[in-house]
Amino acid sequence: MTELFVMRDKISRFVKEYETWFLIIAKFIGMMFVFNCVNSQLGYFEILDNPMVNVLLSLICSIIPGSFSVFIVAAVITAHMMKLSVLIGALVIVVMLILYLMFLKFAPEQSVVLLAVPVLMQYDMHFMIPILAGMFFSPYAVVPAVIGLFMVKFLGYACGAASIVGTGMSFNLDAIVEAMGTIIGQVTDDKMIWLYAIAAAVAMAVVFIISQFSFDYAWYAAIAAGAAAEIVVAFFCAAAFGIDLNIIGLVAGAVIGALLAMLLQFMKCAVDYSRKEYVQFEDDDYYYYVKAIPKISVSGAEKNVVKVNSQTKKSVKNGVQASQENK
Amino acid sequence: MLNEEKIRWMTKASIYEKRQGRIDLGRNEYFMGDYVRLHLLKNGISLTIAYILLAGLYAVYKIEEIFDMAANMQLGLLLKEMLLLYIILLVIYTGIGIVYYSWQYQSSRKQVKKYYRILRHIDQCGEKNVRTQEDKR
Repeated sequence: MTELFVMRDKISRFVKEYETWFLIIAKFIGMMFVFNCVNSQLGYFEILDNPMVNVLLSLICSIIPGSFSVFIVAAVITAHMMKLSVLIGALVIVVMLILYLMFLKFAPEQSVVLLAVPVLMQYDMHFMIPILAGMFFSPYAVVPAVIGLFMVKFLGYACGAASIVGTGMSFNLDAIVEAMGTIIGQVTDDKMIWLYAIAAAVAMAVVFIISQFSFDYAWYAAIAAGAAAEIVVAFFCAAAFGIDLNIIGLVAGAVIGALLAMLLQFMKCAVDYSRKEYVQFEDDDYYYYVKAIPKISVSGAEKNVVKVNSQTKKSVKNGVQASQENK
Repeated sequence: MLNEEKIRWMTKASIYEKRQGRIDLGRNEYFMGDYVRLHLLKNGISLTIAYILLAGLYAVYKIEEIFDMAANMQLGLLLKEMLLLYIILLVIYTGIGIVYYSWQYQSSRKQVKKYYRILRHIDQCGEKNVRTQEDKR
């Protein structure tokens, strides 16, 4: 067990020493996945569907704040949709503006949640996001998570409706109305958005509330409870709405999300509950009841290596001989 | 001679200033009422623009019904309903905004108070240093 904490300490020190580079590399890899996902799902603009363009955009996104990366991704999506159909592209711009103005501007630091959903949806792993977000963000993270899912569904239906409005610049009101009716009808009939919203909200609320308690191993209990709640609620919603749910994806996503959250929590903070202390004290303003749990920090043994080799012996011999000759 | 205690406090203050302190100290420049009102105003403008866009989308979606209503002189009724919905949304957003931005301001204030305590510690270390040097002379 001690070796585990020693390894944790070594990894933690290594990451902290090169924190800036780790963040840049992690953002670069993440954005490569995001742009790859966007181009594989849309891919109408050939210039953007180019690995070198992906690399360049990912490099830019790796050094700018996360909220600006969302704008760049939105611009890429708009470019693809405009290439497909100008009117559908305009509709996508309006919808994205509405979502940003009404919801996303309140949580710019949670852009990673928004961008993670479409990437993980490709592998049916998007159910791991509520557990991770509930642990490391606020419960408001359910909003960017649901918006991410909504945008994936909306863009899919919008691409399907492009054949109705046509790809040219001609303004046909009947076609636009028909296309909007089709998209809105498909979005409202898609109960998966509601299932994900309810399951994510419940999971994040459970994780957040339980993690605030002060009992031992509260963080890990919160993660386990959040994963269980998400699976149960998703099953109930699938039965209630009559949706065909990918059970393997749901369970795998929840379990992997829980394991990853536990690992990240362990790396972030490891405490020794056996040495907890309860203290009471007061100051001018308050009387304090404090539960103090010491953090575990185990450093590896320091090794001092002294090398004794033949060159050292020779130089000692030569020195002795030289001093004898001088005599 | 280096004062280790002072360096420790100064390092804490510097780390705070570099990260969360930029946001907290910026918020602390306002009175709470002004801070909340400013953000409510920004929210109101964002909500209004978003509502206009939504209304435009809805109008395009229901264009035939709107033409029928215009022909039957019922457009005023529709406009009243939309205005009522806008006011309800604005009230909800304002209520949430008041709670959220007040909480945000209070959290920043607590952090800034801790930061000022660190600055007092640095001052005290500086005074101790001066007294020690005077005693040595």
